[in-house]
Amino acid sequence: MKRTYVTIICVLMLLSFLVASLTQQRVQGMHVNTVWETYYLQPSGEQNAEDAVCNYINSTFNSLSANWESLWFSANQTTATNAYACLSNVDNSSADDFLAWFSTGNGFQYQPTGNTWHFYYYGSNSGAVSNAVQDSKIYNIANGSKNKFTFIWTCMNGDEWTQNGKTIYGYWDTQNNTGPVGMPYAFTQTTGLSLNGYGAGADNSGICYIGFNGCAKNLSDPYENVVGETYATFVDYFYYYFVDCGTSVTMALNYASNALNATQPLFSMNPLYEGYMEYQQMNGAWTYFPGVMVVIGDGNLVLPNVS
Amino acid sequence: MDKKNCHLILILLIVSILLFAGVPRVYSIEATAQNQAYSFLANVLDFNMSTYDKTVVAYAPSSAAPPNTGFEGLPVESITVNLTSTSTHSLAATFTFVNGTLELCGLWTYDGSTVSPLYSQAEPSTVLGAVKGILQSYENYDEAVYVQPMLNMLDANPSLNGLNNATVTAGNLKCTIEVDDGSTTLNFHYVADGVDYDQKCLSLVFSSGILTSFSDKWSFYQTNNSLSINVPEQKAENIAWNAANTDDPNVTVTLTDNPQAALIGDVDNLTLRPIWVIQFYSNNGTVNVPANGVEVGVWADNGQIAYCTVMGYLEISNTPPSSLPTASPSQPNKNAASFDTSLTVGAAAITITAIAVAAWVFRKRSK
Repeated sequence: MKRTYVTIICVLMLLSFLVASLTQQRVQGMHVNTVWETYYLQPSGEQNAEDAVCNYINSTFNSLSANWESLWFSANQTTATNAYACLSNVDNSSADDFLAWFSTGNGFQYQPTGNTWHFYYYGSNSGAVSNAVQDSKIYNIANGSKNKFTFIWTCMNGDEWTQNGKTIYGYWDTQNNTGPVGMPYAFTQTTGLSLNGYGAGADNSGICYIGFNGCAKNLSDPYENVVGETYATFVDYFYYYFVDCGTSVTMALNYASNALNATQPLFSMNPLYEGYMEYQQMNGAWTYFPGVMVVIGDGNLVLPNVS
Repeated sequence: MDKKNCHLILILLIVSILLFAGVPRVYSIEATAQNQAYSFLANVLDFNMSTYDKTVVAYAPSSAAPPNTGFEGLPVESITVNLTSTSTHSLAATFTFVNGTLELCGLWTYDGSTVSPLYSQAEPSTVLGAVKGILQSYENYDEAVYVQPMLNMLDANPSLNGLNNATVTAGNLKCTIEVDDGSTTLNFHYVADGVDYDQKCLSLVFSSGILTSFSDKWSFYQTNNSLSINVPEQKAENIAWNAANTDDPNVTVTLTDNPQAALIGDVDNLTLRPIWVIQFYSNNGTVNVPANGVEVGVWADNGQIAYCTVMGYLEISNTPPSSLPTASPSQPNKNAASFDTSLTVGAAAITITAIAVAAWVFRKRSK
């Protein structure tokens, strides 16, 4: 009789572990999400929008399985030093295999040597280029190619241009020996991704970079023809579908577009995709600047372990 | 109760605890959404569901929805299911429900290839035929009485053939068809006095002739007011100008009285209302002035201010200001998600089992 009970207890223990393993996901590779914002040169309305968006993105990743870890670098924590350190830590961690990155703020370009234009976006601690997040430094640190999904909501950090008759988003500068040029190139470590990774243009590379070619919309800008909504809501919806619903980048863009304006059920109908003129200031003068959101690489990318 | 029964009950209790420990709390809610999704696929889109292996890959309860959902507090939940079959390409279906009512059904594939569902019966060969079939099924399935005028409009207007861009308005219904690069989009939405109320709409998207998106927001918004335009543009601009210069404490720039006005459809408490959206720009922007203009919303039915907000600003000067904010690097907010719940369940199971063993041993010794 005693032996029977011991057997039953042992079976129960085995059963309990079986239940645990069936109902929970095992931790294999860790996936890291980082969210960055900066108040530098941003008015209070834009700061509030940044806070809300970053909070939402961070919380939605934190609702995922144990495989995911999300880090929110708030305004005074978003510095180039921290960005490089974070990138390096993930890159050097054998446990981490996937890095998602969202950053918002101001971006621009500069010439370190000669006439080669490089790109950067501001951190919080200084307007000096040396304190900004620079493309060439990102490239040199991010050599582990774990940056599978990057979303940079700033001006110019998705710039594309024509070189030798070919449209590109990055190259290695040999003329002035300034190294890798272009933030998409820096984060993705390759110049070979699809220039239009949305929809049928997806290259199935498993890497996707979203940025702005030219002038970015403000997160706090009113969403076209939808009263009371802003582009911050578009970002929220994108992450809702991408993270919470486990859709691909392309579908998340479509469904976010549909959520805000069902007359635009496809992202290809969205002003972000079609391009726009943004009224902005340059050296004290107000004028209109063109801008468009670019989806580089693999719009079919789906986040791992989102269930 | 004899000793044998007592032990049996104890064992059953332990098994029950262990099993319930592994059941997600949202299971019943998820099951409802799942059933709704499968029912829609079978009854409206005519999917042959018995040929598919079905797996829920993601479920987002209403607490996960973005803060500003546009549905003014109504719960929004979503579910994504995988449909796999040995005879055709797998596909995924994403559903969003608002207050328990379907708002979106999106069909897609993980590799971006063409969606090719398995239907219960032969499908119409044209987009227009497919639209009519889907709308008729949807009308029956959801008792959506507002669908019949849409079907009537398609029947009455040959230009709405699904092959070309077209726009037709009849009464309070407007239909637009947009054909572009292999996709066809049909949108029905509400109009009144020439004002488009895009919010109240039903839309379908076809890619390569196959439905890939069905979205219905028609039933969420009411039209129980007159939607009359009682405030002319000039009066609305005057109201907005006064508001922009006096009401908003954030407006610290001089605005130009050169308004850009548009009359559009809006929603207030889930009810349609016309609104004048009026923008004024700054005429003396300088570095670090935190505004480039003001946008004012004026209700077109009664002239009241709906909102007054500073418009966005993005300084892209390459000459940083001399006085710079400083901050020292610090640790990020680490709301770590690295908590391994499987270990928790395992530990709980061991604890419960250990207690049961201890109780049993104690009981044996006490006799």
